[in-house]
Amino acid sequence: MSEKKLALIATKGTLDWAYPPFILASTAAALGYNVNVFFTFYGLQLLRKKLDLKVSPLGNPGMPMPMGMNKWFPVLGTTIPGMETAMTKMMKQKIKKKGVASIEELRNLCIEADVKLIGCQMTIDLFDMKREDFIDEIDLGGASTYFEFAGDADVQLFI
Amino acid sequence: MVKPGSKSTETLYDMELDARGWDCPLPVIHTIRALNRLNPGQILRVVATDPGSMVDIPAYANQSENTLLESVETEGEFHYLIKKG
Repeated sequence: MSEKKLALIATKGTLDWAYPPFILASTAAALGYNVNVFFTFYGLQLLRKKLDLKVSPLGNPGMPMPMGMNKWFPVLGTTIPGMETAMTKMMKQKIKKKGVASIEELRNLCIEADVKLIGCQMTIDLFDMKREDFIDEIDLGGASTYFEFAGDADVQLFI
Repeated sequence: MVKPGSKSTETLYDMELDARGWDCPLPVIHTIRALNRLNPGQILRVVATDPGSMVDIPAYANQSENTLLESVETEGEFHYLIKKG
């Protein structure tokens, strides 16, 4: 079997949206794919040494909430200070209870399986981020770095 | 976790993976990792509680050189026997 290639672009930096790129990347790597993930804009939050990902009910009517709150709780109520922290805490408890892997765990599976994690240099410059804020295992690159790999990848996804 | 030569109710297997309590994608990832440690012809037994594994384990087997010999649901658990190809 010749090696298949998966190219992902990860653009979102919330706890919920951290899952799709890491689940797909870790699974594909286990299946024998050569995997590259390009992290740009908010996606770079997924590469921080210390992950501090949150989930927000704000502007997210599809999010299931306790006690059917999404049905009767006023949308403006989701802007109350502490709401994000509370929802994040509940989500993390649910993740643990259901046996869903943590983002740290999935990220480690990717690193162990030699998934190439590429941080967007432009985003780092734009937001005045520091290389030291991110895990050592990443490379930095730009659009052409992505295409060098994605150009002949079997699967390409933008998340 | 590893019990070489253990005997299940019906079939001999060479290694067992306890995937109970894990949700997607962990059962499949650890199944693949366990199979990587076996030699062709050897058999892996997997026990999982994730109902999604009933779809994902066969889907994995279909795209690999390994063969799913058996998949059984008993009392909320899912048992698989996979032969390394």
